[in-house]
Amino acid sequence: MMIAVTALKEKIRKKVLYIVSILGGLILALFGTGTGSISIDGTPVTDYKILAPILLAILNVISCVMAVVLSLDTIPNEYERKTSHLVLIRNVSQTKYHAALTIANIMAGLLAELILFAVFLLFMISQHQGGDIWRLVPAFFISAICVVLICVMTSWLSIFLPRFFAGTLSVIIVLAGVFYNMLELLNSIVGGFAGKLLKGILYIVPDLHGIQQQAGSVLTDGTIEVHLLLKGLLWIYIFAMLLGLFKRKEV
Amino acid sequence: MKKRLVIVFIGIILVVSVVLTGNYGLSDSDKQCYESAVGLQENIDEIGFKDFKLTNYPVAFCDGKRDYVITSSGNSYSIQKRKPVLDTFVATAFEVEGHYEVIIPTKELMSGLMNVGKTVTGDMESGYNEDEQVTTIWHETFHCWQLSNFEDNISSLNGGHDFGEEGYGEEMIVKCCDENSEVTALYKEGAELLKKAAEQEDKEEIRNLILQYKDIQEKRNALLDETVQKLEDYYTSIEGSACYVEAMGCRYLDKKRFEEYYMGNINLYVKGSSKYYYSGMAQCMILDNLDSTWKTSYDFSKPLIYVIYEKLGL
Repeated sequence: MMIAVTALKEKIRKKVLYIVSILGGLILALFGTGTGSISIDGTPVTDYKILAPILLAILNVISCVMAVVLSLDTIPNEYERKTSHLVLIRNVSQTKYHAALTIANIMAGLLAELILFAVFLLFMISQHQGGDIWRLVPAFFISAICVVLICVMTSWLSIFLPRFFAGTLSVIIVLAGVFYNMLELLNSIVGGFAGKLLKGILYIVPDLHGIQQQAGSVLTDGTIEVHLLLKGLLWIYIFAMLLGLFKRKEV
Repeated sequence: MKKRLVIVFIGIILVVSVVLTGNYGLSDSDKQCYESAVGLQENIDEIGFKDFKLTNYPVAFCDGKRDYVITSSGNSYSIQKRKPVLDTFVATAFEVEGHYEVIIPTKELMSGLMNVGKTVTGDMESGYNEDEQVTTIWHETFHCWQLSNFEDNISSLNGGHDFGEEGYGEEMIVKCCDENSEVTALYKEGAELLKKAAEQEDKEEIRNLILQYKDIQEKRNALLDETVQKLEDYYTSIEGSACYVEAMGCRYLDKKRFEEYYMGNINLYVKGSSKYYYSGMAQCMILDNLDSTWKTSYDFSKPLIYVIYEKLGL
């Protein structure tokens, strides 16, 4: 736990967390100011029931990308600065060490998400939806599944892949996950090799869109599909297991 | 050791929960759509097409990977899984092993596509809903009924052409009708008259309007090749009457949508064949105003508009 707290403190000291969160918050505020930043055919979308799930989806994408940014460097940096050596000689297993650093990534990711949800809270108040603020709590925990999933996955990839590849791959998986419904639709229509390829991609990409939709449903009083949330948790479990299996050579 | 067991146990619990909460086979929402469609039978009976029963035809819901074929027997139904018979994503009436079946994408798949389309067109508020799926089932069931009972008449109506082949019919409409400004202008003029006649209950007024329409149609037909005229008759009578059944189903389910969508589009002009769905629907409504029993004898051997002319002695 000490390792996780130290790694988190470092992230807080470096201000990466704030810069990324404020940037994300600004993007979110820009869309949600009610001046019709989101418009279709020139008509501003102002209905809360339409706007809220769209903004929450944007929030989720920003949170997931932030999770990648915040998780990408933690493990490689420890090895490059030889801090890992100091820790590992104290009889701490690599698995525990990586797990602690991943927990730090998760905490940073959730903190960033919390800052974005604070911006969303202001949006709700501006839309006179104060009575529904409590809905933000379950929505936060549902969206957190995506953030935790991406943090664990990126941490795992950063153990054995060079930073650039781990980052690119993570962002690709985030994008594929966010547009999972579109890929599913394409898979239903497209046949042949492309169809098989899409089917394969759908197997190895977590359905972030499905999870996000449930958070949107909580906000707008819709029904929740527990199956999609459980699938998200299973993905976290799988990545956590892989995190434990992969070792990194000390330089 | 104890810790590892706990980790394995958590994994097992997660896998089991995912498996147990998963939706396998035909979704509940599609079953609900089918049941709602069957529940509409009494209202559809009131329209008056003889022996037109949804339960006479299997309904296959396609999710892109499988077809879930619902077959009714008495008050219950069974669902069989099979490989999709079509490799395209379409709602249609299709002949399978000597009988006609309704083939329709699952509601989830249909919603995905429709909502993409609606997002593109800016219609964000109206997602594809259960009522739309139900009325689409009725539209395609009507085609099954038409093809099962009047296939030869339909074939003579379209002059024996296979317009459906490779989008040939659609291309011909665009090329010969939509790209000819004179033909298009006359179509729009005629559609306005049909709209007025469909909304009119006074038979003398209807007669005046149809007389003007006939005059316009004659001018228009003089500009069109006979094959194109046959193609228009085919779309107007076959698709138009199916659209009429669909609209009537919608009237029972959601009167507001019926008024806004079907009555609102009754004089619709768009490139391609869609416009004939609505002009055909308008002709069915005009026939209802002239003689509501027309459906008991109409056999698709002649265009709907000829039946209107006959009823009015034109």
